[in-house]
Amino acid sequence: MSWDPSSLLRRLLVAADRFDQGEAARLCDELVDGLQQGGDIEPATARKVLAALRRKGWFAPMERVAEALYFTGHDDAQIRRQYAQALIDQGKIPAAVYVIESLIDHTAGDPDENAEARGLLGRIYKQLYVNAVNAGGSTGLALNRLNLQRAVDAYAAVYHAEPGKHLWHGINAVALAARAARDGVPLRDGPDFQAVAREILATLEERGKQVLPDYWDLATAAEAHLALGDSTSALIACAQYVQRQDADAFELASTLRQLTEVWGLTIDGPPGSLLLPLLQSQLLQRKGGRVDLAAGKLDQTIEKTAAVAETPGKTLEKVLGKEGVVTLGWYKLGLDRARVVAKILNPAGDGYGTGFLVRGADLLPAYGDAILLLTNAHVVSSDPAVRGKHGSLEPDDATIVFEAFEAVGGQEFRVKELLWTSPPEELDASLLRIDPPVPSLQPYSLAKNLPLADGVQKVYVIGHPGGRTLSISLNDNLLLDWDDRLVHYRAPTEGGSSGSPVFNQQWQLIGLHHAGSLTMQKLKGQEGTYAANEGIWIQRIIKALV
Amino acid sequence: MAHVTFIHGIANKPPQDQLLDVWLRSLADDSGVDLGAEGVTSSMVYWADVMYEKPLSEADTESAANEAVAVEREPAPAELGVAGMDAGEAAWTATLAAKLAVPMAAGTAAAAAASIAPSPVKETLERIPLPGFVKERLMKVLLRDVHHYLFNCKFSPGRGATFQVQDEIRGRMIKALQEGAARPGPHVVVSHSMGTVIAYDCLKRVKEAPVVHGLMTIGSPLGLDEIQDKLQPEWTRRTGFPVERVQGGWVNVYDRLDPVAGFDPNLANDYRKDGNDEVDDLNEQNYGSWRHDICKYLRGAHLREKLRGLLEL
Repeated sequence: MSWDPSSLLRRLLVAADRFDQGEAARLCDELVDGLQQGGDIEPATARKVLAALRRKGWFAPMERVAEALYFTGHDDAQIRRQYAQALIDQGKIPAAVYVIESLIDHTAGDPDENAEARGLLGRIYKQLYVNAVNAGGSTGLALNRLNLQRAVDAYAAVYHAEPGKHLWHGINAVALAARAARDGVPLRDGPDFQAVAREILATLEERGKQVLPDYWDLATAAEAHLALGDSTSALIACAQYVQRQDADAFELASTLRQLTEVWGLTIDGPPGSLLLPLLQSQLLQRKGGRVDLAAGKLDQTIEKTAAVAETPGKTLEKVLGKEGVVTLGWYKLGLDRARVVAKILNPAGDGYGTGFLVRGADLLPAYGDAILLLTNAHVVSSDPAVRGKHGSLEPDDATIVFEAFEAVGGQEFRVKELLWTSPPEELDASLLRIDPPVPSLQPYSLAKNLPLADGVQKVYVIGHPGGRTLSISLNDNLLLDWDDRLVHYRAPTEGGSSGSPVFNQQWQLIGLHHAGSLTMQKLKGQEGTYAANEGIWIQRIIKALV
Repeated sequence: MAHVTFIHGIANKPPQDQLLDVWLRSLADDSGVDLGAEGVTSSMVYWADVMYEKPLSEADTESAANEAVAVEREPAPAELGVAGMDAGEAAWTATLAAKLAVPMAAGTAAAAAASIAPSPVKETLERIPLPGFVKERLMKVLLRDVHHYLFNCKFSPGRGATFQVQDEIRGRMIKALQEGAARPGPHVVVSHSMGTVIAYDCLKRVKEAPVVHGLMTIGSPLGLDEIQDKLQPEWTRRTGFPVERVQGGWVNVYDRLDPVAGFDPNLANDYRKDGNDEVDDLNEQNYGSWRHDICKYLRGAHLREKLRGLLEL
């Protein structure tokens, strides 16, 4: 294939828009090969390639491309900075520090790039501090204190050099100084964070008289109001921020991380109980959005989301409009769906798969009001041949827990009876009666039809991705295709939630998630493969049960 | 898989795709009928370009369905004169103008007819708290669109294009109906405002139109006698129901304070099937000053329930 970086960028943007990680990986291979064979690329094109990969969270290929650019002499300051970002996002901190420190030296004559590089160094130390302390590390530990001091120093120095210019450095200095005060960590020459917050707000107000604020200005304003203890103003700024459609899932997720990891906001009370549901609901509506929740906090999140949603006519509706309030109600419905998603454990107590409760009569009238658990046959099966081939658990070996269903919180359930199963090559489903019986629940509404495969429809998967035991994740996926048995969909990051429920945009159950692959065979006899997740169409399971 | 053919009403609109998106989102809002999520395909019969030089800008998309906003931002169409009209057309125009409270050029027969128009309809309109000039412009737009369509006028919206209005719009509607009919599952026509006149005209009077499963008219002026007169001879009060091509139900949705539908909102007594009332007239209470807004109608619980029924969801 001829060397055409611009065409490659266009194809990469299309792949990114469709979350097609397999195609993106192929394009990155092509780019790396071309560079290594002496191909040239415009710096602007290279930067766009790296930016597209980053916004989808594809950090490993981003690092690979950045390295290839670096070693082939296409390493201007911005590309080196993007290389460092790829390293930071993968937790390769020492290598990132090395790249950034050399970048700071390299950009001594370029104040703007130098400021960006120093800000990135601040980001590294910030991340080191919050990672350590949020995981239970001591705030008294000298290393933790040193990292916090270094982070504040890096941000504050850039901000104070030109206060009206580098607001993101300034607001990070504010957030970290406020964090230091909460954590009881003394700072040497620490900024008066409230004074800086007021200064930032004044700058934004002045700027707002001349140009429409961009979404980062609004997010910055929300943080500045938090620093001043003004929850209402923070909520208004945040509501204005989430309304900006140019702020995509990547941006909203970054803000959400900043508010929880640095500001320490929680769902327990304001301002977290106001801001977090607002951000989470909007994030899940964005293309490729994903919300991770601590499972034990689900009921509280539902309650607080309802409280935020039910303030029509008041502050929030005036800013968000009716549609924004409706989004909160929609999000709450999704959270309700997460209650009855179960984790299935093997005898060693490790997460082995996911399942979910359904009302028996919704699948087969003869099951009546019994509450049953649906999961994959490759997770639980009574068939020795299936167990031998796929490693499924024997029914007696499976333990079921509902980490987000507080009515049965902490209780362990066992399989009383396997009512029906279909092997992985067919419907990959097992229907289980569990013991003790589960209390009554709000049953899922089952979709009669599958959504249109029109490149617009989204489906939502709720599960325990990556085997994490204490969190539950709601994922926005693009619907790709379906036939009379299978549904294909795609998220920007792979899940691994076998046995999870799959919903349409109205939170009606459409399927049972069972597989994902970067090389999934296309449906309806089409040639070729693509990156896709695969679920079993729920009405096909019902048909098989009859 | 079911299919919906939408057709819009009076006033300028954003481009076709954006308009369809606005309708779909309004219908889906707040746990409504999300057609895409339920596997229902849809299309929009677009005819704003027959009457306007260019579509509304993207910035106006959100208010696109609100004709009161749209017409406020543009000059009203010139009053319909009588030059070139024969006596029958002039009289028809004058009578409808009077009913719509649209002033006609002074000194014409139409103006004379308007000045002696009966007042009850005006009383209905006065209950609508719309600014007077907006209401007048809207009625002018309605009068022009109805007239140009029913009399198949030659019209140039600018950009060098000229259309025989009825021929052009009928052609687009029939094409969309045929494409919808080619799909499996129930096919339902959802029409608004002047679009209800077009949908009815095609389903009742154009032999190339295919059979559809259901018809929904929303905020329709089909109750106006003047419109019914121009739909003859196919239309009669006793056999007005388009039984030839509407196999299932016809649901007519109105708000009594909708100035377009408010003249005679109930259609069952005007479009009978073998003398029997068959149209399902439904009062959907909207809110605010502009009750003709399609977005408000599409958010209505009764409308959504009826649409679900027609689509067999």
